[in-house]
Amino acid sequence: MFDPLFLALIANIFLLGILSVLGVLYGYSHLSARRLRKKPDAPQKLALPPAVKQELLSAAEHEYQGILDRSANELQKDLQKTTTSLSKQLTDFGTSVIKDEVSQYQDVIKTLRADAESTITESQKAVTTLHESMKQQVAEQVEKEKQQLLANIDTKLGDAIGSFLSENLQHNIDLGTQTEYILSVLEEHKDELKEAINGNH
Amino acid sequence: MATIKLPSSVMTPKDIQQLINEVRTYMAWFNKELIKRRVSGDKHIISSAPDLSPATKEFLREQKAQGTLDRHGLEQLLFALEQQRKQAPTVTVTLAAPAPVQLQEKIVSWFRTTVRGDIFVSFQFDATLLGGAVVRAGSRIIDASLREKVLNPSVSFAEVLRRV
Repeated sequence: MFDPLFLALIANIFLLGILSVLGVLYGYSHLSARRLRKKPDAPQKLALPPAVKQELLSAAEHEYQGILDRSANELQKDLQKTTTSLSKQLTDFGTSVIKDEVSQYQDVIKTLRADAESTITESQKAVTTLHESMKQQVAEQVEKEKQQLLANIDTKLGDAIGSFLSENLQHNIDLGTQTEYILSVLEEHKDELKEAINGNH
Repeated sequence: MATIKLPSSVMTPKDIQQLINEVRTYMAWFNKELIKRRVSGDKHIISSAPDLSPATKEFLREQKAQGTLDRHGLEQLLFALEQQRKQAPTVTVTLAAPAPVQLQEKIVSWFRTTVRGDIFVSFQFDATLLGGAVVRAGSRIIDASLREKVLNPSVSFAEVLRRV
């Protein structure tokens, strides 16, 4: 009716349940014991007489006051030192800045002065050069006009004399006396005539 | 073709044309005489020669002296004269007054001796030249007149006056 295997299984399950419960109980009791061990002990109070208390208090106050006074003095000294040092540094800084600014200003003034002097010198040179150039141009112009006037006088004089000769000599011309002259003129231009005649033919 | 030496009195193309005409007249008479002699058989019958200008006579005399004055020679001479008339260059010489013939001949002779043997020279006059000559040859003009020297002197009058 009941399988032996089935019965063994039920028995095993029952045993496992018992073991589990025992394990849980053991673990809970272990943990509880630890908590009890960690809890500190409560402090124990000590009772002193009031006079002693008061004396201790005064001494503490006195010492505290001394410490405060000493700290205040030291602080004051440090403050003075700092103030002095700061003033000195500010003074030095101010002097240095002013010195630099003055020096720069002087440099700028020097540069401007040098530039102004140079500009004035160059302007003077340019004016002198221009003056010389204009003088030369005027002299050249005057010379040119003089030469032109002389040439005009020359031409007019030549024309007047030419007209005079032409008017007086063109009548009663005797070619017989000019024969040798005409032949010599032809001889003088012989090469030109040969070139003109033989070059065209 | 060789240039035929012309007399100095034959100066212009017009003169040589006249010479050609007269030589042609002479040649016609010469041929007529030749025929007459052949026909009559008498070598001595000669009719009077035609009237020719002194220049033509001189020219024919010179040609005869060179031994070229037969019928063929005359034909060749005429042909050469025609060619020369067509091809020879002409220059114009302007003088200050009408030139006498002797001066013209001297000038023509100078040109034919110095420049070119077959050249023709025509003459003009212009009183304003004052003296000397202006020669025109083709497109070239050579002004060697006194007027040119007066109007375009090589030394200015002002310069000369300064030296005086």
